[in-house]
Amino acid sequence: MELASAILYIAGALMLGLGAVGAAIGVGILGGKFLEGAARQPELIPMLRTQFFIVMGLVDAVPMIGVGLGMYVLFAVA
Amino acid sequence: MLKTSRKTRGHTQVVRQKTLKILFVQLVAICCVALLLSIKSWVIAYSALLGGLVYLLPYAYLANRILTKRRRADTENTPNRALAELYIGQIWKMVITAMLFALVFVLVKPLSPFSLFGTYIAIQALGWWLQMRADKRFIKL
Repeated sequence: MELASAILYIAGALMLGLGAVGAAIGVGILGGKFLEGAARQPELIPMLRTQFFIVMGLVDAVPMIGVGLGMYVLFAVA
Repeated sequence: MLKTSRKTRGHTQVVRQKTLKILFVQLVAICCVALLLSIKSWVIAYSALLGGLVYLLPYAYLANRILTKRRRADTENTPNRALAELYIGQIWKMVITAMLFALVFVLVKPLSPFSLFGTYIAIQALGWWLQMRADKRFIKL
């Protein structure tokens, strides 16, 4: 395998992996806060679910861009 | 036994309506961008269209899954169950997005990556802006 191709595969893997780490931290914190809120006031679960959905869109935006770029490097460039 | 108030159930329906409007605006924006770019080049135009759809389809799936009115009994609506449903929906959204990206990169050639990712990011930013416009929702958080 050529060196350039190998470096591209490593770059794609790093993009996917670091994106996954960031998303995991964000979603984990978000889920923990959801459980805290739901445990304090269970009657607010539907409202918390919608707020979770909205904030989740923010949390996973940049990691998904990283996933897309990683896919592009792996499938189209390498 | 956990009881959800009528106010919080109504909140879900209000958010569902607003989310549907946001999705519609995003779809219209994607079509407009693709039409405008088709003047320059077909490749750039369909790349932009694909980039927008790769964002929009998984988001619509997640919105439909989370914001749909549940018929379950209130006793099953525990925090753990609700969080598990949210996580499962989010995981499916990520899987669908990754699959769509992979399908686009494998099957569609030629492709303009700048147009694809530019539209993907622009539609996300449009979604954030529309969320902020919707009753200044982030300030309420």
